[in-house]
Amino acid sequence: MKLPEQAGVVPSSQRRRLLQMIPGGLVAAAVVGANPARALTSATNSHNTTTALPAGWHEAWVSAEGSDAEHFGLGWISPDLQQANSVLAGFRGHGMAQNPQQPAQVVMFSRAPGRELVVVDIHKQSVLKRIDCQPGYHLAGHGCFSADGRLLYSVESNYEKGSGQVVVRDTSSWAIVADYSSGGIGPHEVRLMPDQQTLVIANGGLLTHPDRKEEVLNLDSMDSSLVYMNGATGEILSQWRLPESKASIRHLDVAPDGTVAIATQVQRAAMHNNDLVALGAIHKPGQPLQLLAEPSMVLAQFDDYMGSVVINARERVAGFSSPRGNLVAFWNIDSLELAGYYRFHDVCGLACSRDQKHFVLSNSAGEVRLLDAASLKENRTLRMSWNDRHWDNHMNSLLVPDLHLSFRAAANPVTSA
Amino acid sequence: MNKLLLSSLCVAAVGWLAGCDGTRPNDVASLTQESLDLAIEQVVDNTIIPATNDFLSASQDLSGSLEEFCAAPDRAGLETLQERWKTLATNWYGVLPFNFGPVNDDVVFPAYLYIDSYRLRGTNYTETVRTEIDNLLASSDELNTTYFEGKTFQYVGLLALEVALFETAASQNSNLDAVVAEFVSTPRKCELASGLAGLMEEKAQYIVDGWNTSYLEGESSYRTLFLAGDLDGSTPLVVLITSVQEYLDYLDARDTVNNVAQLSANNWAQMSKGIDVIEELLEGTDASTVSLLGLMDNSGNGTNADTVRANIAAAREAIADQDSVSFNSMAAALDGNCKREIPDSLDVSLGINFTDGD
Repeated sequence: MKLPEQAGVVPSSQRRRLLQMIPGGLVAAAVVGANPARALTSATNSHNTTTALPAGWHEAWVSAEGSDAEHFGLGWISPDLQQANSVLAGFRGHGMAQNPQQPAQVVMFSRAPGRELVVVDIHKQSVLKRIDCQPGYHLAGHGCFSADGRLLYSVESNYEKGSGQVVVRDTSSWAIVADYSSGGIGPHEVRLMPDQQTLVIANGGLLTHPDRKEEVLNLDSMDSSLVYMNGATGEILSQWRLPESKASIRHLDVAPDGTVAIATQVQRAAMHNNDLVALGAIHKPGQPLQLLAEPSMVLAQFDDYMGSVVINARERVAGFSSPRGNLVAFWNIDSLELAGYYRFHDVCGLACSRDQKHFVLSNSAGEVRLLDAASLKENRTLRMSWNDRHWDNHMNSLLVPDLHLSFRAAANPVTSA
Repeated sequence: MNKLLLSSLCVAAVGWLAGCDGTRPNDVASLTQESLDLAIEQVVDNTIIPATNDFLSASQDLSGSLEEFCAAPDRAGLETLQERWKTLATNWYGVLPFNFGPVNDDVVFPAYLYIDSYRLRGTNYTETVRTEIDNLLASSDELNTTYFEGKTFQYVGLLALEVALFETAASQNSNLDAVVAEFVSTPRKCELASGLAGLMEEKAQYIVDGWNTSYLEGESSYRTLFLAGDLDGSTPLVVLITSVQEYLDYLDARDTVNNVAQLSANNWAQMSKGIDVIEELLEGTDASTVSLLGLMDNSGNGTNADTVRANIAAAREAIADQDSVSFNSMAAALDGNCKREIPDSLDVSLGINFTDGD
C-alpha cells in the first residue's frame, strides 16, 4: 500500500497559470541597499562538490537532536553505513559548523538565548570542549569557521547593550580574539562567502534577553538586515534590507557563485495588517535583493515562517522549509519561479547530499527523506526512520574521514533504519 | 502475557461491555496503541466520514432545490433555498476541523479553498464576490459549473452562494421578495447560482470519494491510508490533533464567528457544529466503544480530560449567549488543550519544530 505522491513539481505552463490566477499578488522585488558596488564573487564555498570522495571518506548528515533536556545532543547519520549516533550536549543545540582542517571536529551552537557551545569529536563520540559566552552575551544558534579553520565566528547578542555581535575565537585556544558589531540587532546566522574572506550575516533585528526567554523586546522598532562583513577586520561592506520591516532575516545559504538565499520569519504580532509577506529572497552580488513573492497560495501555507534554507548549486534551486506549514518549497534562484513543493510533517532540517543529487529533509519524528534535486520527487526507497531520535531545526551534510570510527563503541544506542 | 495480547483483550473487553448494557466502556479501556488505534478508527467511521457524507448530501439538496426554484421562482422556494444553504454551510463546519486528506491534498489548489475562501488567511472576500457577480450578470458568458471550475477560489464556494441567495446584486437588499424579484427579472442569476452549486457538489463528491474510494487517484482510499499510518511523516493521532488545533486557532485568530455567514446569520450554527464534531472526536458517539477522553480518564489524566470537557461546555455557553468574545476565548483555550493536555495525556508528541521554532 503506497501513499500517492505528495510532492508537486510545477511545469512552466502551470507557473504561468499560478502567476495569472493570483490577484493582487505581491510585488516581486525591491530593496533598499547600500554600497552595492561591493561585488562579491568567488569560485568556491563550503558547498559539497560532485567530485569523487577520497578513499575512506564518507558523507554524514549532522543535526542537533533530542526532545528533552536529558537527550539534547549532536546526532549524525551515515547514509552509506545506515547508522546513526549522537553525543549528549546538555543543552538544546541549533546550528553547527565543521572545522575544515579537522573534519571530525564539529562545533554545535546553543539555541538562543543559550550561552554555551560545544566542540565535538565525532570520531571519539565525545565533547572535547565546552565554551561559555563572555558575560552579558548569549548565542544565537549559528556560526562558521574561517577557511583555514583557525578562527571560529559565532553570532551572539550583547544583551546588556542590546547589540548584535560577531565574536571571533582562535580555535587553538578558543580564546576570543575579536568582537565585531554585526551591524544590527539579533544576528542569527553567519556564513563564509566563496571569497573565503567575507562573512554574510543575517541580522534578525529582534532584541531578546535570557531572562525573558524567547520574548521579543523590540517588535515596534525591529530592524532586520543582511550584512556583508570583512571577516578579518569587522568592516561592514554592505547592508541590505527587505521592504517588509517585520520580516526577520533568520537563515541563509550561499551558492558557489556568491548567490545568497535568505529565509525569514514574519513577526505578525507587530504588523497592522494581514497582508501576505514574501518569506524568501535571493541576493546576487551587486544586485538588489529579489523577493520570492509568488505564488501566494504556497507562501500562505508557510504560515509566516521559514525554518531553514539550502541551495542546490547544481540545479540552481533553493529549498525552504516550514515546520509550521509541514512543507518544503523550492524556487529557482535565477528565474525566481517556484519549482516544486513537498509535504512532510514537522519538517525543518534541510541539506543537499554531497553529490548534489538529492535534497535531504529531516523532521522531529526522526525521519529522513530524500528528494531528487532535479525532479523534486521523493525517492521512497531511500527513506530512513530513527524511532528514538528527534532531528531539530537544521541538518548539514558533511564529509568526514573514517566515519566508521564514529559508530565504534557507540555512546548511545544505534537504531536501525 | 505479551503487551499486544493484553491490549487485544482490553479492546475485546471494551466491546463486550458495550454490548451488555449499552454503557460506554471508556472507564475500562486502558491507554495502549491498540486502544488508540481503535479510537481513531471509530472517529473516522463515526464522525469524519459521516460528516463528509452529510456535506455532500447538503450540496446535492441545494442543487435540487435550485432546480425547482429556478423553474418557478417564488418566496417559499427562496426560503427553502436559503435553508438548504444554511444546512450546507453548517455541515461544512462538521468537516472543516478535519482539514487533511482529500479536503486538503494539494498545496496550491486544495479542495477546502474552493468551498471556504475565508479559511486560508481570514480574508473576507464579500466585496470581491459582489463585484464579480455584478460583472457576471452583465456578461454573456455561459455560467455553468464548467465556467466556475476555471475561477479562482475568491469567486466561488459558500460565500459566493450566500451572496447570490441572500441579497440582491443590484442593491444588496436582503428582503425575500426583492431577491425573488431579481431572480425573476434576471434569469442569469439562476444560471450563476446553479453553476456555483454544481461546483460545490463536485468538491463535496471529491472529498467523499477521497475518503472512501480513491485518494489522489491512487488505488487506496484515504481512510485506508490514514488508518494504516501511511501519511506525510506523521501519525493519524498527530494529524487529527494538529488539524483540530489549527481549526481552533483559526477561529480565534481570524475572529471567524464575526466574519463568516454574516448575510445569512448562520454563523453561530456553524460554530456550534464545529464544537459538536470536536466533542465527538474526543468523547466518541453512541456507536463508539472507546474514546480519546475516555483513554485520558483511564490513564491517570482525568483532570486534563475534565479541563477539556469544561472548556467545551464553556464554548457551548458562549454559543448559546452569542458572545463572540467568550467564544473566541474558549476556542483559544481548547487550542491550548490540543497543544498540551491532550497530547501529553495520550503520550504523543506533536513535534518539536512545530511547537517551538527558531
